[in-house]
Amino acid sequence: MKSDNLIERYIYAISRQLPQKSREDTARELRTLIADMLAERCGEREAAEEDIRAVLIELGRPEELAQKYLPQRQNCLIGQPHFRVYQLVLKIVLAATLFGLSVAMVVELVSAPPANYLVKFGEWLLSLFSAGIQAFAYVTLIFALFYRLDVKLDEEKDFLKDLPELPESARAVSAAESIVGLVFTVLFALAFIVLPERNIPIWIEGRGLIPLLNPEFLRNLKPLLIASMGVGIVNDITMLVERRYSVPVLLTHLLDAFLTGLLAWAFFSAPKLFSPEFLDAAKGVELPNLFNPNVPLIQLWLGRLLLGLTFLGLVAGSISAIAKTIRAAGESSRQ
Amino acid sequence: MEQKEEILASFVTEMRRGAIALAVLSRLAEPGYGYQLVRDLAESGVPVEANTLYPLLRRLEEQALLRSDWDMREGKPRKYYQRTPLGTEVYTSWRVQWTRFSQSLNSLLEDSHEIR
Repeated sequence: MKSDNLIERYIYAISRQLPQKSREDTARELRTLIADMLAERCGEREAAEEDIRAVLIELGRPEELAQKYLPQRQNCLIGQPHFRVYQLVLKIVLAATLFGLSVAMVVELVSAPPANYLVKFGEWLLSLFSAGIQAFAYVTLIFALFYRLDVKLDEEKDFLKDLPELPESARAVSAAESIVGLVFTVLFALAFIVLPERNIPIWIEGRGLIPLLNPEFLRNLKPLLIASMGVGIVNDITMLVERRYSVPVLLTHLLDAFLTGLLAWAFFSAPKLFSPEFLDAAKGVELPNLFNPNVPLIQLWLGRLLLGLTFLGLVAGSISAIAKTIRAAGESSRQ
Repeated sequence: MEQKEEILASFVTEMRRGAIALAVLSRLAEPGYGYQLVRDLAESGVPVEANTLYPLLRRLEEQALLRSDWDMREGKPRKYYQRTPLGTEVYTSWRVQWTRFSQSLNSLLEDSHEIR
């Protein structure tokens, strides 16, 4: 009775680790296998407990045997090729979290000097820790899910085309460039979308830190801001992953430029662009109409010039990106 | 010394890993059950442990190279495995490749200047 129990417990230790549909089948097969092995070992005599022990030891540890029944893919949380992308995304997200929280703390220190700097520093460390853990958990969870569901990563079959450019090549995009872009995008997102009432803090003697732009204007612009930031982040990440000019990089770049242009146009044509606090502080500045809340910048020659230069910059950047993409494509087709 | 044996053991394991599936497929033109195969293969000089063979049979079944039937007539229920038509096709082609590869490898080994 006791030894029967041993066999059943051994089989259960294996079958409980298997998928539901094959559990019963495997258990039955193993039961017969153990009976066969015992019969061979004992012949006609009754199997003693030590025979059972010997047979089970020969079969090996239940978790190892169960492992052999499971498909290889399931053996880890995140495997290749997902792991490679996971590492990259995790690094970027953690770095952006660290940077964003640090900047937020600096802004807070400047706008409202704390009574106790040590406590503030402790708070910062604590927020860094908890935000870091959360970021880590979310990214890990998402990629574990991707891996388990076998979500296809968009990997070109022709991997020779995707080999990274050597660092000295003019066609290569430096990682630093995209990381700086990513950080700035995150900063803008923080300033304009998350904290519109702070937006661009400027220091005015006697008034302290006041926002440059009108928070209400930014709130109204929220959908466009979010779209623009989103595309900006996607563009920076594509550049970071591809490390060279390619069609996806070009497309996100063009979309990004278009949205930035739209945003610039919205800024320049808006009445009440500046915050009331700033307008109040700017009273008496000898620039006719520049800080007049009823006159959009686009109606002034200076405003038109600045907007024109912005558009020129965006168009020039897009043409340069198109040219670099064509050259990069030519380069890889020659290889 | 121990390191040398470990390295050798891992090479031998790697070498046997795929070949065992070929050996199993070769025996299952007619239905056979797990433990019968364990004994059969051991007698033919290709010993495979039960804890390797049983999961392998299951995997080959999942790949549709083998199909199975339970035989409940005797006291112990037995799961009999047999090659499917797909299994036979794969086995036949694999066998040709195996023969070609082992012949080439053998002549390569005979060419080497090691003392045999």
